[in-house]
Amino acid sequence: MTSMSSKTLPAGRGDTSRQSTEGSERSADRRHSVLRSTARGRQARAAWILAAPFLALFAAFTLLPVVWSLLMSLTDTQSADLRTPLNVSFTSFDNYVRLFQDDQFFTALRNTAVFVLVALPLTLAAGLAAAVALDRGIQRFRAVFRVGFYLPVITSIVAVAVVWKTLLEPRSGLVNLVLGWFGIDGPAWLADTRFALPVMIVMAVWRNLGTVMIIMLAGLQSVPQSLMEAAELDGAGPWQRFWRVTFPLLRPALLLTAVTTGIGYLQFFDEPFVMTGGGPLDSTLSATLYAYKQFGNGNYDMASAAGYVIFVLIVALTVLQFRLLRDKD
Amino acid sequence: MRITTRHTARTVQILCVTVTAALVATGCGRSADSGPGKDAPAEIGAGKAKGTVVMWSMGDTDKSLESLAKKFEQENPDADVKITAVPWSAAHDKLTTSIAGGNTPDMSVVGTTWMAEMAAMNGFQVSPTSITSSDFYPGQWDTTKYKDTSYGVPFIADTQAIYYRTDITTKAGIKGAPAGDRAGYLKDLKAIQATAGKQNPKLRHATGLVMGFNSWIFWVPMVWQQGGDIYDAKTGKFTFDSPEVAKALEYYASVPKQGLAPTDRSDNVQAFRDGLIATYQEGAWAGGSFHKDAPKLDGTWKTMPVPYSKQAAGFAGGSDLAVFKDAKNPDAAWKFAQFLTEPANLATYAKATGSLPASPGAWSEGKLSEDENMKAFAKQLEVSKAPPAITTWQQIADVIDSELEKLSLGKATVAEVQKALQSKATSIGTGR
Repeated sequence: MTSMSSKTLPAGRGDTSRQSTEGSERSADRRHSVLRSTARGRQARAAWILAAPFLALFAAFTLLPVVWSLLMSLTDTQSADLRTPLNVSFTSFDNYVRLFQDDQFFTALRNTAVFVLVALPLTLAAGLAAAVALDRGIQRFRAVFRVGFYLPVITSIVAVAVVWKTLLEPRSGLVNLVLGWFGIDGPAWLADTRFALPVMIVMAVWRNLGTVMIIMLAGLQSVPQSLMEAAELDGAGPWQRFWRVTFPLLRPALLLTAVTTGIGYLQFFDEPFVMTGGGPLDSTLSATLYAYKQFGNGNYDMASAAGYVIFVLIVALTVLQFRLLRDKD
Repeated sequence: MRITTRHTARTVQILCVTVTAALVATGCGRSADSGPGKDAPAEIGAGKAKGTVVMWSMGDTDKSLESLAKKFEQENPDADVKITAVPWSAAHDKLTTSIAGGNTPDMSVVGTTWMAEMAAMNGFQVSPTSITSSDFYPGQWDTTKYKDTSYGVPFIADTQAIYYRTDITTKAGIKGAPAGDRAGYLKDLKAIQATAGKQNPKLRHATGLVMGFNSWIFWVPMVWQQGGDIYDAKTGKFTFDSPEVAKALEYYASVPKQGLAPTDRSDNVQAFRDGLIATYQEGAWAGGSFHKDAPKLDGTWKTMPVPYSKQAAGFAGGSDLAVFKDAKNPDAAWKFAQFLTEPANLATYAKATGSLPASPGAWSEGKLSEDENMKAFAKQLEVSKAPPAITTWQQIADVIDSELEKLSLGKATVAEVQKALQSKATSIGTGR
C-alpha cells in the first residue's frame, strides 16, 4: 500500500508537476501567441492605414465606377436620365442582347480580333528579333539602336497618329510622294478599306516592338554564359543554342510581353480615333471605339455593356496566354 | 475563404448603400411638374448685375470675349465675370458630366447640336421672355429649342457657302460664279472637270466632297431644298422614305459617281489652296484661313450661296449661350448673355473673331456685308435651318454619315441607303 502510495505519490506529484509545467508551457505559449497576434495585429493595422489612401482612391475612382457601370449595363440609362435617375429601369440583359444583334458591334469585334491576331505575333517576333540582334551584333551602336527602337514607345500615341496621318495623306503625304518617284500611284491609305487596318497594324508593331525588345534584351542578358558554353561544348550550333537554351529561358519575358501587349491591343482605340474615326465603312472601327461612340451618343447603358464584353474578352485572352506560355514545371 | 466571402458580402452591401444613397441624393428635390418642356421662363430682374458669373467658353482663350466681359464689368461695377476656356474636343463630355453632377458654372457656350440633348437632361433654364426670337435668324433661334421651348440665346451662327477658284473657273469658260441651280451647277462642274490637265494642269477634280464624319451637314440641306424633310416633328416620325430624300441622295451620289469629286477623304482646304479642286462647300472660317495662311490666293477665290433645286436652304449651326439650372447667379448670367447678344457687342465680337453673328441686327451694325465674300453667307443665314431638336440627333447623324459613305463609294444604291436610313433611324427613335 505504502509502497504503492509512495510509488504513486511521487508519480502523482510528478504528474501534477508535469501538469503544472505543461500548463505553464501552454500559458506561455498562449502568452506568446497573444504577443505574436497583437504584433501581427499592429502590423496589419499599420498596413491598412498605409494602404488606406490608395484603397480610398481606388474605391472611389475605380471600384465604384466599375460596379456602377456594371449596374448601368443592366438598365436603360441614357444621358437624359443622369439628373433624374429614378426614371431608370432595370432591363436585365436586354443591352447585351441588343449588342449581339448589332452588326456594327460584330464588325468592331472582328476588326479588333484581326488587329490582335496579326499585330500581337508580329510585335513579339519583331521585338525578339531586335533584341537578339542588339544582344549579338551591332555592339558599337547598341545604345543608338536601343533608343531608336524605344523612342516610339514613349512618344504620345496621338502625336504619332497625327504624324502618320500626315505622312499617309493621299496627295500631299510623303509616303505617296516617295512611291511616285518609282512611278507607283500610291493609294489613299486611310480612305481605302483594304489598307486602313493594315496600316494601323504596321503602326502598332513599329510603336510597340520597343517595349518587347527592352524586356527580351533583359532576359537575353540574364542567360548564364556557362549554360551557353556547356551547350557549345556539347556540340550545339547557334540555332540549337537559341532554341534549346535561350528561348526556354525567355519564356517568362515572353509571357509578360504577350499579356501586356495583348491587353493593350484589345483596347485598340487611339489610332482609329485620331486617324479615321473608325472608317472607311467601319473598316477600322474597334470594340473600344464602338463603346466610346455609344457613350458619346448618350447611350451609357450600351456603352457599359460593350465595355463588359471587352473586359470578358481580355480576361479570356489573358487566361489563354497563361495556359500556353506558363512554365510547364 | 469564409472571411473573404464575408468581406465581399460586406463590400457589396456598402456599395449598394452608396449607390442607392447617390441615386436618392441626385434624384431628390425635383418635383414631377418641372423638367424639360414644363419649366417657366427665367426672369431677369431690373437693375445692374451683381456678383460673380462663371462662364465656360469653347476653344482657345478668347481675348475678344474677355474684353467684352471687361466692358460688362464697367457697366455693372458689382459684377465679376470669370471665363474659363474649354477645348471643343472635351466640351461635350464636360458639359454633360457637369450637368449630371449638378456642378455647373453659371453659363456656357454650347454647340447648337447639343442643345436638345442637354435640355433633355434638365440642364438649362428656359430663356427669359425679354429675349425676343425675332432679333435672331430663325434657323439660329430654332437651335435653342427643345420641345418647342427655348433654352438659350443664339450667339455665333455657322452656315456654309460655296468657295470657288476664279482662276480655274474662268479657264473652264465660266463667266462669273457657277450656276446657282443644282442642274446648272452640275453642268458647270462637268465643264470644269473637262479642263483638268490641259488648261488647268494641277486640277484633279471639279469639286471636293465631304465624306465620313459630319457629311450630313452637306446632305440634309439638299433634302430641305427639295421641299422635304427627314423628320416630321408633328407626328414624331422619320421621313427618310420620302421621294425628296431619294432625290437628295441621288444628287449626293452623282457627284463622286461622275468623277467630279475625289472619294479619298483628302483635306479639302489644302486641296482647294493647291488648286487640286476648283470648288467646295465650307463655313465662313475657311475664308479667314485662306487669307491668313495663303495670302497669295487673295482675289482668286470667291464665295456663292449653296446651289439649290426648288428652294434655297442651308444648315444652321454654331453655338448658343445657355444658363444652367444649377447656376449660382442666374440673374447676372442672363444679363451677361443679353449683353453679349446686343447687336453692337455681337458685331464687335464677330468682327474680331471672324465668325458670323446670329442676329441680322449685328450683321448690319458690323457692316459685315462690306466684305464681298461675306454676302453669300448673309444670304445663306436667312434660309438656314436647324436639324431636328431630338435628343438622339447625334446618333441619327452618325447613321446618315455612314450611309452616305456607302453611297459615295458605290457600296450601296440609293434605294438601299434610303431603306437603311429609315429603318435604322426608326429603331434609334427620338429619345425619351
